[in-house]
Amino acid sequence: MKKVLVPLILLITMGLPSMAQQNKHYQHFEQFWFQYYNQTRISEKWGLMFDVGYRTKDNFVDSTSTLLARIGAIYHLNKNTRLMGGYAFFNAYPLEANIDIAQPEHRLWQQVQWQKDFRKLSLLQHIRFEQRWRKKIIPPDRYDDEYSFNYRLRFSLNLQYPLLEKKQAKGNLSLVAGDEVMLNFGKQVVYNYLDQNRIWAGMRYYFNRNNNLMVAYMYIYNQTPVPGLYRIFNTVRFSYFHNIDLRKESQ
Amino acid sequence: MKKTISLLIMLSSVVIAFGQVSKTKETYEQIWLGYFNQTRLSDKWGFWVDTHLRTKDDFTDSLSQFIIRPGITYYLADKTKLTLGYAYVNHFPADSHPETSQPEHRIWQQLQWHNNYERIKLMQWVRLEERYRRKIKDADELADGYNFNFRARFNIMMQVALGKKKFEKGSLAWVVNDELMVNFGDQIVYNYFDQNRFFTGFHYYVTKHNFLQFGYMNVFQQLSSGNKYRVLHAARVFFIQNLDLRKKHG
Repeated sequence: MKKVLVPLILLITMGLPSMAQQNKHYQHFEQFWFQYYNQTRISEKWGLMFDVGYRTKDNFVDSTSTLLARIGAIYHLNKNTRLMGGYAFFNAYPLEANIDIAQPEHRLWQQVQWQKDFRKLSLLQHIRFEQRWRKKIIPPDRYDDEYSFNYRLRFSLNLQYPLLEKKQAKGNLSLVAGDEVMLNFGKQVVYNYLDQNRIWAGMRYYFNRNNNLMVAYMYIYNQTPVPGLYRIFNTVRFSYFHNIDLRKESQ
Repeated sequence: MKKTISLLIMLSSVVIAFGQVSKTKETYEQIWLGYFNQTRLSDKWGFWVDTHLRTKDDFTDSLSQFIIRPGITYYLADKTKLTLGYAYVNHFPADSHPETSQPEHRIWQQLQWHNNYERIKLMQWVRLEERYRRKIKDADELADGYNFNFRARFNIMMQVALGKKKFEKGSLAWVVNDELMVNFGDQIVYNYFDQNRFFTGFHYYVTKHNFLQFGYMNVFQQLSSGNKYRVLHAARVFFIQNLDLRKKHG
């Protein structure tokens, strides 16, 4: 099967750019993203984080596209700068109609994040480096023994503007907006060095200092590995942020 | 059209199974010379100009690009600036136009901000460009009209002061810099990723506000065909001048 398929596929993919005649093709999806983020501070310098997420597939409510869990450690370099690193597991149900099984992914990630506060506006930036191992699938429903591998670099910029005086007080509402660019690289990446761009805007509500909910509209522009094929996601994100502080002096 | 997209979608599942086809890279060695000037005229206004000359290959073999880029700067704050400008680029003869230069006109908008810490300085800008590149007819002739695309650029530069004097006259700083450029627009089909420029080197402060930058730059660029890439190894030498022509505050 593989012996016949591979040369055939190579032939088709290499011939495809000329067949497509410099046209781009788009697939559109509408999704809901639900995510819970936890950060627990255990000492002056150290903390732990985890988050879990669920994403629908299309028309906002149609089935599941992704389940994810991420864990990591946080090192507080100073008040405004953090180093983070960890592991993530993703289970992604392919958007291709002819695949019936989910694709598991193992990921390692490292991140540096820094924050800058202006009079009211605050700017949070992070750079994240990921190593992604995704299980190969033989359509429609079998797993290959191997994983595909690539690196990904993510640059994220988040703006927050509080509508009330005290930035994180109970009942405060903030406007939020941001952008994140993701770049693929590695031997197995051929066309899509740009993986995706995400841009979003929304609101953030503080239940109290340590609990807040962000609701945002996010537009994703994603280049697939197939030359000329792009995906556009219109998503609504619900993100709940929960901070716990276990340092002694603060109790 | 419908057929093509269903074929593409079928292929995308094949890619999941078997991975992508191969890519090719061409490598060049270049020298990049540049001069940057930012002059502040009043509390709110100033101007920008930078100019560049780049060689083509084997470090000293002919020229690849000349750029002149003036702009007007509005100071949102001392360390946060908006700049609107124009650029003229001359692309010296290359593969697709071996006997003639290709001119380019650009309009650009930029937000630049600085964060200074005790021993570290951080400079970032986000720039949007509208690029009009003259169409090519054949080897030695330009065609009428221009190709158009947008490009967004994200630039981040960190300096770490070396030695006792920090960012003062006669001091040295270590520099790490990365600039990512993303193409977009109707005419971009495969290379949304345009290029990444990674640089590391040093700043020598001639005075507090004027410094010489020198070091190594690696450029990784995706060409329009999508699976062809260009790698540049460049020796980069810039001179950066910051002038303040405001009357001294009393």
